[in-house]
Amino acid sequence: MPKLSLSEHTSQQFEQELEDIRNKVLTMGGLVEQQVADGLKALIESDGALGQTVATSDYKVNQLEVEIDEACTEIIALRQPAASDLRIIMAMIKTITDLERIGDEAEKLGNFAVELASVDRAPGYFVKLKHLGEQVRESLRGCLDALARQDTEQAMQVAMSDQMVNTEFEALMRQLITFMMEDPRSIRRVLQVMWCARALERIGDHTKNVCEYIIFMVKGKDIRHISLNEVEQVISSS
Amino acid sequence: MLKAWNEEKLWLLGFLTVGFIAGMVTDHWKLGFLGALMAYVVWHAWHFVRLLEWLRLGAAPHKAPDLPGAWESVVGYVYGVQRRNQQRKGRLRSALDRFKQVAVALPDGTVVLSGNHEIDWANQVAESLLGIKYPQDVGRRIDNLIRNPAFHAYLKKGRYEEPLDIPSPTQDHIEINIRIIPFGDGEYLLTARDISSFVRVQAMRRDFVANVSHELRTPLTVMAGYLESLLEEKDLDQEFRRVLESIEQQTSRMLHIVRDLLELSRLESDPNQLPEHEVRIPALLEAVQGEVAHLVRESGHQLEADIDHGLLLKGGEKELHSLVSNLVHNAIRHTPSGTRISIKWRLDRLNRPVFRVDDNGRGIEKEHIPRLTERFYRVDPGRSRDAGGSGLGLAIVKHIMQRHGGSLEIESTPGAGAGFICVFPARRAVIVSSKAS
Repeated sequence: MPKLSLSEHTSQQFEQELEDIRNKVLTMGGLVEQQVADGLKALIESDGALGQTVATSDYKVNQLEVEIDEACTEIIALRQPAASDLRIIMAMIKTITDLERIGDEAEKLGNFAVELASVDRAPGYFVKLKHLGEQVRESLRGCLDALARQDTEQAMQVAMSDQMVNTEFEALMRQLITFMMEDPRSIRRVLQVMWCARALERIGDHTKNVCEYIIFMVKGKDIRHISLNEVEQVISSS
Repeated sequence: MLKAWNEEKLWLLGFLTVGFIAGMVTDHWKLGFLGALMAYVVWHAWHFVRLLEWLRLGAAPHKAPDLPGAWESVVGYVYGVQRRNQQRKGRLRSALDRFKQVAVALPDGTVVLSGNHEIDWANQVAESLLGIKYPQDVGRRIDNLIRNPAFHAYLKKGRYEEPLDIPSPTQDHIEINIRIIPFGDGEYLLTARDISSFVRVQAMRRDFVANVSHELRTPLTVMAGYLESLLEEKDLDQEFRRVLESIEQQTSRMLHIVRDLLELSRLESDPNQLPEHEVRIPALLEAVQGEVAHLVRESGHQLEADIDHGLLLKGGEKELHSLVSNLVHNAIRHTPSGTRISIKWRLDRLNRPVFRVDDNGRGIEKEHIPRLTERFYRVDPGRSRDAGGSGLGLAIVKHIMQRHGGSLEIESTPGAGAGFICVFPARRAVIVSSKAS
């Protein structure tokens, strides 16, 4: 996968600005990855203090989004980029929106952990989230690696694996429903687990979006809203 | 080279001779010589072309043309230069190969970074520990691939004397220790070592101490309880009472040791959670004085205090109580009757809050001072064990000072007394008007 040539535009400074934006986006990605990891850990280990940290750290993610957004807008206004450069900027703007949403979902996880820790420990319900959580984290990591490497193949793989996340989510839902049917007293707590599972599933969806932006950015092909089989054809044809 | 020129001279002579003969034969001397010289030039031009062709095709040593005269030296020199270059390349290549073998054999992940933190080279272990692929990732910034915010902050700081511990980006359960070493011309060497087993051993050690202490506390408490009620009996045989009191004393000491072990292990295992409340030290000091009042009376010590009532401290209340208590009890326990113990709580010249306990007792020899804060260290085992105490007090004080970002200093003049000084960082000082505290 050849590096997107950033040398097509004239100014060295412009190239530096694009590079800066990419670095900032990946920094934001790293922050979000940490938030998701901590949020999950706080839930599974019933760690209220960690959950609190996650909840109160979300402002950093939002701050970065605003910063990067402004930088991108400035570039569009001052440099009027075209073709591949414009695609890069557009993809970055969309990526940070999805990353910020992922941050919000992680904040939710943190808040649930705080609530959970202040009550008696839920007997192992939240541990069920572990597997789903691991899958989501791996997807997010793969997606950001693909962004760093401009690797459309990896982006494709991650986008396709979101299907697995959805399947896992549905299986978890079925399991949780049987818990609720068996013991109505557990409904409240199981519902909380469900909200958390939902948050994780949403993170998976946002990750898939970012993968689509990566492919758009590198290949110039818009693959949103078309089925994944067609996507493979589209990619291999370029 | 001389040989080449001699040969050249012979060739020139040969051409001129032919010219001479041609002139003699045809009687056109001028034409004869001119023809000979032109032939000489063309002959040289032909060799020139052959040389150029050889050079153009890369001057392969085995294809060197066989040229006469001075041209031979040219070919010879070019050939010599070529061979030296080949040899040098060979040496470089084998040095590089050896380095690569060494690097692959290193059990640590190793990455070479440029001044901009771009990846120049990485070994295989780096791929499994850090997820960095060589050669695909050459030129990428390392903080794009290792996105841990702690790592980013560490890179940005630019000062790498302390290593960094983070979980591996590729495998969560592995903890890695990262060092960055600048070298050469603005480049960096990054090494990543798997310290998971080390971390596990540390955790096991701490858990062991805590568990053992917990387990011991229960039976000891039972013993102490029964002893207390036995001793309350009015009609006890003198000898029997003495025996029971001795047992009670020892049990109490064991409990004390266990309690201190637990406290120490707790202090060691949560390094980041120091509460930052405003602790009313003056009130705390007065409370401790009250606690030891009867001890002091019994032992015949004199206790005096010089307290700045307007000075409070940001920190952990329980820990600070433990600190004061330990130091005061130590002073009472390890000095003879009649010793004067003075407690001081003031800001020093650099506006740092200082708490000190001084006594005019026996003092401590210089060689013992650095070891005093070791666990269970006794200056004079026979004497001080009888006096009681767990042997852990100073270790606890030292830990508490570390957690508050301060330090413990010990001064002593043998025969004249000793001083234990706790210096807190200036930022922890809270000044209020004396009336308010």
